[in-house]
Amino acid sequence: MNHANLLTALRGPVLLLVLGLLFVVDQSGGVQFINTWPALIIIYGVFRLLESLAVKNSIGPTGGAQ
Amino acid sequence: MKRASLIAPLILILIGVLFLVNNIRPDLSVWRIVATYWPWVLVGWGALRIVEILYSWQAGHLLPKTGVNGGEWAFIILICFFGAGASAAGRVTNWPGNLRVLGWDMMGDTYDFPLHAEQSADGVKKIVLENLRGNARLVGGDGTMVKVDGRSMIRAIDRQSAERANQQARLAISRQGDILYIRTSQERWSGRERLTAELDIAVPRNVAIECKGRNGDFDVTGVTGAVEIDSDNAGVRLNDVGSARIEVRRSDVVRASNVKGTVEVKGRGEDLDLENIAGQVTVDFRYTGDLRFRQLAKPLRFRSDSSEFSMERINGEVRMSRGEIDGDDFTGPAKIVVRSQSRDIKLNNFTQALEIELDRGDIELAPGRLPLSAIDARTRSGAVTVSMPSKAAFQLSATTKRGEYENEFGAPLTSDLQDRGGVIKGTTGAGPKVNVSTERGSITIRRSEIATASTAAPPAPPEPPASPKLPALPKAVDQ
Repeated sequence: MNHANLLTALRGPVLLLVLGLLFVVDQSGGVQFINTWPALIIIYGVFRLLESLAVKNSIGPTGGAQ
Repeated sequence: MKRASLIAPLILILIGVLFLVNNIRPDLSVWRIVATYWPWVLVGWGALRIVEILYSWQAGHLLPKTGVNGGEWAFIILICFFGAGASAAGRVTNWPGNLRVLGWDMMGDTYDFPLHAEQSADGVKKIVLENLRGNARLVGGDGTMVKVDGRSMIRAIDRQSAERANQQARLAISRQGDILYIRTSQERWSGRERLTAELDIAVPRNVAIECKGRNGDFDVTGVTGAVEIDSDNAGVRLNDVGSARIEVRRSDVVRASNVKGTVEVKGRGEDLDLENIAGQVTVDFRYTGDLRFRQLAKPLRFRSDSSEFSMERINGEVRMSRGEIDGDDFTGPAKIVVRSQSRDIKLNNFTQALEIELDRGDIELAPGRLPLSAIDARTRSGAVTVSMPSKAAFQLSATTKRGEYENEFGAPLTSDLQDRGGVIKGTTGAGPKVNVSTERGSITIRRSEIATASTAAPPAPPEPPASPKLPALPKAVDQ
């Protein structure tokens, strides 16, 4: 059941890291941030998905004892 | 126990180190490095936070609800904006070596070098001055010599590097055909030293002048030729010149007086001041301060981001600020249009037709001179006050859709309630149409007296208004 909390806590830092990387790519003359920003939304969505899956899985065996 | 994050102190340390390095190793150009590598701060921040969270999860500590909180996101967005701006600036121009805070250099010293050059300008028709940074004053006089005096101020770490820069950027006068070039060649020095030149230039009276610069004022006096100024950031003062064409991107003041020909002003700035101009004036200027036009003998065409106006001649003065347009003694046909912004318009002593279109703002009109001409003034929201000369002949129609109306003029004007507003209407004789209207606001029609028939040469038409006098006669009979 701790996995859901971990994912929630990691969501921000991971987004921040990717944001930084997108800007690094932009800076070094690669794809511009204007074109790459939707990746952040995708990552956010993936995190939310994983979190909800993690919650469901954890509720099952422990019987919602959280 | 929850341990405080390492990130805030690390960022503080990083900022301190940057400033310190900038001060003790200015040759490293720290800000260029920052402009290039700032995204790594975000990467590092994110990575460090991930490590922190994984560590506390491993150790079984309580996890934070969110890895990055709202305040932190705000700060991150701020970094992104500044970073993107800085790297864009760094790509376009050379990143300034020294950090300047409010115009104050945080390090280095200024070294002065005298400048002097002169050359005969016999047969020269035009003088071109190129001075990237610094103020220049050009004065026309008798004689055929061009004399340049001044000083070059070089901001550098030490005298040696200042001298190196000075060697590169030499003041030079060169001639090509009938054009004489005066160059300070600051652009030749690509080092980090900042060069500024203050110039005092004496030129023959009968030449045209062209000044180009990026930062610094231009002051031109006493030449009969055309003056052209092109600068990014300049105060421009012209007095007693043939004609003027001024283009500025950002200026604190543009002032031109006693110009014998046309004046053209383009760009953005704070204040604009034109006085005693003999030729046509064309202005396309986004302003943040005040505009003043005085004694313009020929038509004025003005355009800005939100307003537009034109008049044929200004004997007195027309002033504009961000909130007001104030005019006294001018000749139409005049047209004033202001969109999307609010302006209060107050116009006195004008002749010829007048047209005003306003979104928001009060209108106050006092033609004050005979003969009257057609007036058409509309505002969407604002009070309209018109003072009509008591002896004038006109056909008035003043409407407010929603607001009070007051007929202080009295007969023969009549007022009527209409819906939530009202109409003041009437004819005092065979005269021009005066139409004023507001959608929301009060309407007031006043009566004004004119002291004399003024100086107008053909005051013949004002004679017919004698007819309103007629009612006075029966009175005399009554007695």
